[in-house]
Amino acid sequence: MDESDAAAIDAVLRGNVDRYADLVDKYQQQAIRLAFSLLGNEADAHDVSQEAFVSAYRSLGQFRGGAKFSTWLYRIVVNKCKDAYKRHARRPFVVAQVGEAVPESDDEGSLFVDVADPTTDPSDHLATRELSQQITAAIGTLPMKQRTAFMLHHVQGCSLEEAAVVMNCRVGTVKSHVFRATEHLRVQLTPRLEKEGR
Amino acid sequence: MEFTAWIRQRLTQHPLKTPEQVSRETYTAQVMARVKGEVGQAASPLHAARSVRIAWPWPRLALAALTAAAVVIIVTNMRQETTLRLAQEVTRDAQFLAALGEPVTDSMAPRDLEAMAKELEEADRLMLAEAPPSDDQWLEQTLQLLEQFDEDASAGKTDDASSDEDLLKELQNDEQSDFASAA
Repeated sequence: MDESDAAAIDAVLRGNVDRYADLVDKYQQQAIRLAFSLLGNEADAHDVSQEAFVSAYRSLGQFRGGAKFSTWLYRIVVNKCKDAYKRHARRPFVVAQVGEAVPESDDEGSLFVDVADPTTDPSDHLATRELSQQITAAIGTLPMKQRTAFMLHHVQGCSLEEAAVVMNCRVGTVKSHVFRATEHLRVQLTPRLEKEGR
Repeated sequence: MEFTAWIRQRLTQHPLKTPEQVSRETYTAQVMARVKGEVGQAASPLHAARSVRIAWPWPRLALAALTAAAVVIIVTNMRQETTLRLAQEVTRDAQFLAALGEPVTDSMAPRDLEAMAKELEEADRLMLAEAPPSDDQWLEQTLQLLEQFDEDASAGKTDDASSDEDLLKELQNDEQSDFASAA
């Protein structure tokens, strides 16, 4: 575990609650990004990641120093996302009645691949945006477990072993999820690859 | 380029969008406000880790009742099984004897309790009828028998030392008389 993380956790456990802000400040981007990539909704990602930080604080006494704090936090975030995903599944669809305006789709909000690319020419902005939408849509069609494994390994930078700890499953299972997710995305994005001449 | 490398490069070049609704400081402040709310409501995480989870009382009672019921059922079943096993053994023995051509005794046949009680009463009466007489009666009967055979009843009452000497003399007399008669 990172020494600064260990020092902050030790200080919090000794009663210095303000030191927990160091951990929140350090890991908030990763937590929000993970929740956002799994839920596809900014507001939900915000709430879920904050809940994860509070839960992590509540059970900080049970945290074992053998693991990384980030791995432990990711696990809490993933579990919170699962709960939120189930709540969303139970949420009824809003159907527009005759005469009412059809609610606009929230594509912009669920677009978790950033369209802004400083390395590309501004004239390619439209193409980049289109690609981002396609990648977002393809990732959005992945089953929850495959999406989680893919995001943890390829986006959050977790090793397969860390991802297995986060997902509470075996390494082989994570490998299988990552492989299936990659194949799924390959099928979904093949037209785009052919268009780029690859 | 391999697809995995391509998608990874894309995701690196186009990093996942981070929500920008609130700033980093605001987010941290919001989390810390909730954390401090937790501190106000409960103990520190160290205390939380040490706290014991208290279960509701009713599941404990229900669990205890279920355990007791299970024990009673198991004991009852074990006793029934023992009785059944004995009855099966008796039946099997009777069948085995029947197969060998041996008569099956009454004790092996199933009987009801009333019949068994009557049999026991009859057996008691028979035992009382066949019971040996008391010591006085036995002495009288013995004397009568001795009188029938013309034997002196008082002969049995002599002490062991004198009787041995007399017996020796008698034997010597008998031998001499036998020898004389033979000669």
